[in-house]
Amino acid sequence: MKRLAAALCAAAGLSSLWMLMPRFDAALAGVRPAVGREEAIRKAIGWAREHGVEIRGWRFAAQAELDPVLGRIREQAPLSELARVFTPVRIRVLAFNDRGDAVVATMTAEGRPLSFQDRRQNAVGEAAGDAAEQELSRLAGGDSGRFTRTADNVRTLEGSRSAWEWLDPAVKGALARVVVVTRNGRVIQSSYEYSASQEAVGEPPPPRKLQAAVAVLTTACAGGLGGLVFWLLYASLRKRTDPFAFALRFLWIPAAAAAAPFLSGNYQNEALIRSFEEGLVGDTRLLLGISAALVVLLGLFLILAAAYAAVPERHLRLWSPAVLLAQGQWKNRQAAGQIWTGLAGGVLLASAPYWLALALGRTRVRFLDDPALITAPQPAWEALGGLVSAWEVYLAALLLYPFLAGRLKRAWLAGAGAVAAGALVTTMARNVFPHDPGASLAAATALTGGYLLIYHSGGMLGAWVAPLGMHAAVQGIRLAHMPAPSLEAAGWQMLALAGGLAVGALGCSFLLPEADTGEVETQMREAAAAPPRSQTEKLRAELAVARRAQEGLLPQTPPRIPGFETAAVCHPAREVGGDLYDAQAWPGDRWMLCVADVSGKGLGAALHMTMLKGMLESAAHHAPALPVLASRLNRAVAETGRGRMFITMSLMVLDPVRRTAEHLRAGHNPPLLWRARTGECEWRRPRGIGLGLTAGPAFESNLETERLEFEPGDVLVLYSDGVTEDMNAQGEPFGEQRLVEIVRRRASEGPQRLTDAIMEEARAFRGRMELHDDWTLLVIQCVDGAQTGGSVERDR
Amino acid sequence: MTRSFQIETRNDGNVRVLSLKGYLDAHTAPRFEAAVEEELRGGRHRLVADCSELDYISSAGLGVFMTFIDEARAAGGDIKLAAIQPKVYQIFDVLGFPALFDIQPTVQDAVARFGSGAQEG
Repeated sequence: MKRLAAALCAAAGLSSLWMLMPRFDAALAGVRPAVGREEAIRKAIGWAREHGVEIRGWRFAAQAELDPVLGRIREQAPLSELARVFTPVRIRVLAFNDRGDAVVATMTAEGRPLSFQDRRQNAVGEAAGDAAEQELSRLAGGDSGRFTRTADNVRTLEGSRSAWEWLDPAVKGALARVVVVTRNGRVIQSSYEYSASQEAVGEPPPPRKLQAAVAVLTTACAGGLGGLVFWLLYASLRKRTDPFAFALRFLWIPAAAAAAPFLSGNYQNEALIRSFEEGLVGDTRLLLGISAALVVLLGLFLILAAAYAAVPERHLRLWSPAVLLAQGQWKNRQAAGQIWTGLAGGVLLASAPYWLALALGRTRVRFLDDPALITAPQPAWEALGGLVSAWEVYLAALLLYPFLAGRLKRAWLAGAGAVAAGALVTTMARNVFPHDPGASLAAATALTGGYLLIYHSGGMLGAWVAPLGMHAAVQGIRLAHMPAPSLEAAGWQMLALAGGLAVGALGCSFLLPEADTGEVETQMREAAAAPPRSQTEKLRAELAVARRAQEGLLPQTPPRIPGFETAAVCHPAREVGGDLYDAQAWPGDRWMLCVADVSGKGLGAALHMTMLKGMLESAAHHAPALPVLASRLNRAVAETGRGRMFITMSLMVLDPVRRTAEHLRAGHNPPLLWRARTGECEWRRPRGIGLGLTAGPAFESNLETERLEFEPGDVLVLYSDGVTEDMNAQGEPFGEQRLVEIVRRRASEGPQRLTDAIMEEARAFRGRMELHDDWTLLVIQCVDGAQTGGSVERDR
Repeated sequence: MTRSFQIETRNDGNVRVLSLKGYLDAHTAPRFEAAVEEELRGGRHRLVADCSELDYISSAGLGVFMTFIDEARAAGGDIKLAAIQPKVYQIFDVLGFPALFDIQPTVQDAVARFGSGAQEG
């Protein structure tokens, strides 16, 4: 449905542009260029030959320029014969060779000569009669008789200067002027120009105060937005780096678009002409252009990072397809849909200034004026410029609007604020109605509103590509309205590029699988909610204190159990952990041994672990029956955990004299008992439910207490699931089987060596992976009555 | 290390079946929690968790079942588990879940248990 709506938007936009552009577009004002790039170069070669210069085989660059003043004159004084001689679009051809010689020829859109400039290093030529007079008739043709000579071979630094003028009888204050400079009787410079005073153009003097107010507001808004970018970056730098990672990964899209004019030769073409005009050497301008493009990309990088940092919760779904795309997930139906929506929306938006001109009764629209495509070597690439330099779109729709939407409760208020500030910036970027700040502001408001709507329905990618749709539509329709023989192929090329992109995106939005955006949205949400770094450091310091305190809760000295040897390890996966092992002397020369695992990890688990430790500690004084103790613990955990956490535990009371133990298992991993006599292992799994899973009687009714009898050499291994669920890089768990095998092989070597062996194998198995859960192991071995003692290794 | 987790919800008669797929751990549990909560808030208290494609469950995932079981039962419904893979079942089993939850070999069995009225575990 949305895709169909977008298609209708595009169709409506294209047909509006087709109808309205010829009425309002300054670039189209009565111009039908008869020459394209190739034709213009051919003509320049011909004129150069007439001036005695052979430029065939030189390098060429061509550029088209727009003369808006002439456009207005032709419109206001349709009868002006003189103005008709000129066209609002001029084409300029630069020819140059490796020796530093250069020739520039300018012509009207129809290919009639307007100026010639010879800049050869060692110009030699033959004097031929009055070269200046000949040049006048070459330029003015049949009109040369109407010119009055105003300068006759005046000596200047360049050479002898002659000039003629023809006052426009139809327009007061306007005239055409021919200037010819000769040296040694040879023309080295000539020009045929139309100039008009401001009164002649009939330009109403703009209301100064309004203009000043708009200028001040615009500057303030642009400055404010720039400030916002830096503030957001500063604020986010303190706690997260993901905005920069996103901006860097996304940057390849604008970078590719920025590289397009270089790769296609379009930029070199323009740069050469500008180099020539600025007196620079050859390709200097190109290097400047590349550095400028890098600066532009840096700006985009900053805006992207800041915008990403400003994305509020409710805009996450608008951004997640772009984030996935940046992460290299191409098979992403949502991204394709956004691109299609954006391109189509951009096409419709392109018609907005023209509709506004119709509504306001304006006669001219200056929108995306770029006649360069007439002379660009690869006009197709020109449209890609929309992906790079549409600052107003990025600032208003991608930065300011999400920023405000995250801070203001009312969505419409955020929209209104973004449109108001964005419109001012857009006025600066696209002065649609020159000399008419009010109308320009209205147009900018319409455009900004449009960008926001596109962002809303087409997401981040939609807003990003909307300017591309806009450029492609305007340039495509412009080409269609002013066909020129050599332009047609190039024009189709451009339409094919933009159209292909749109159709491709539409197709992909059907064909590609839907991407799972949930995860990326969770990541963005978590990163945004992270505390500032300085706070993180403070927290880390506090956690270190907590860790030391928690280590203090674990047995400090090895439990010296007569007739038994012990060893234990407890590694928390994070700073603090939820695993506990404990060994306490109980009345009657008995020992309470326990390994427990609190669900979850980190601080919350650690707090519950502390509570459990406290309860076990207090139990040591009255030594209740095990089921009673377990039931009491269960109720405490169920109450404090409120059904959101639980603790699993293996608990036993060992009587070293009788070599027996009472054991119960509250949902904990079953302990492993290795029998010295057989060399085999047995799992001890009496029935039992984890502590806190239920506050009801089901806990007690499912609780079994078993009696273990030890013979000398027997080894009991108590552990947490961190041991058996330790993961390697392939995501495989360490597993019970590996544990059994190590115990079988190494149990006879005693608890300490067995513990070391298990730790060593687990570390080797884990490889480069980090510990994923708390890792706890308690091993006891029944030894001959004569031997006593034990050791506890504590994690460092 | 992030792993995918997906939930699909469908109706089987008047029972809601939530198919769990992938890894249910501390990262993905909030999504499962939100899904169950949505069902209960919407007055659908007869839930079956289809675990046939559930590859792993951590304590955070188990916590979700615990959080809502009393609420579902108090409203006359239940959360039943069905078609649990052996290695995942082992986790449930060690913890003692079978004593607390109605666990059935197939989704059909679990749905049928609602029909027979034997829903209070």
